[in-house]
Amino acid sequence: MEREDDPKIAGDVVLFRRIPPWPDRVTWDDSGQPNFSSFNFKDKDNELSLHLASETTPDEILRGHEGFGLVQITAQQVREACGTGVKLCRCAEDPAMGHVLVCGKISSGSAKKLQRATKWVEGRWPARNPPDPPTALSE
Amino acid sequence: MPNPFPEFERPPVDEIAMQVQFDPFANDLGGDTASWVVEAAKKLEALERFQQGWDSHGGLPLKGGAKRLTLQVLGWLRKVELPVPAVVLGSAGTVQLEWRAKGKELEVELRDNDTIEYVKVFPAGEIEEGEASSDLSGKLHNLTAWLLHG
Repeated sequence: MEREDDPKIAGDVVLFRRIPPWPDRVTWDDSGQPNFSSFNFKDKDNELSLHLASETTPDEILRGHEGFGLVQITAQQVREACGTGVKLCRCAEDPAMGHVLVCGKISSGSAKKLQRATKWVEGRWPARNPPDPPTALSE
Repeated sequence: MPNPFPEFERPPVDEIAMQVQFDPFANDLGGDTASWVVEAAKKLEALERFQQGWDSHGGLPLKGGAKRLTLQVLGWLRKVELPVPAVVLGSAGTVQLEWRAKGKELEVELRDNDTIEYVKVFPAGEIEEGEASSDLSGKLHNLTAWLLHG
């Protein structure tokens, strides 16, 4: 499907992204801080899922995803990190919880910039001793 | 189980380490394999338990080509004294190795088509990225030399 950048997603809009708790999407440093990998910001279909913070809650995003953490970034930071090669738009096929997509190839360098711009949502670190990975999960 | 490699005289190690030791692309395998290689191989083995959808975004299981390339890389770099890397499974079933040393970061995505994509982060925060599809061993040696000595 052809995607168009949605100018209604203004620069100061806050976006959420779930982070799996399993090694090594998250690693823990010596001070006990979790650090998420830049690989959390690359998608196999070049459609990275995010959620508008204004249309959902951390509890809702994480429901059914035991042990997952949650990070946040602004739309402006996404556009600055990824450049004009990607488009930020709503997901028409699955619009629930303010589902938006970053469409286009995110290079490793852009994923690194996204990682550096993103921060943990307060109180939403992943589990340090997570459950076994599920056999199947849906979006 | 009988030892399938009777010429192998070192004490037995776990199966995944054996895979690295006997990787067909590695040669001259002596007792000087860096300890991080075995740790990374164990992490790689652990990635095989993840099934489709594991990341809540439709993530794919570890791809055979990515696993094979990762084992090759561990073989190529087995004598380089590196820190233990993060071994990260990607949404596409590929693998990314991530090292931090001396204020620098090196991240290398190992795809299932024998290509790599890498990012170097300099101490001041500058980011440099690139790709390679040939002489991967030479490229990885250059990248790790930059991390340790550049």
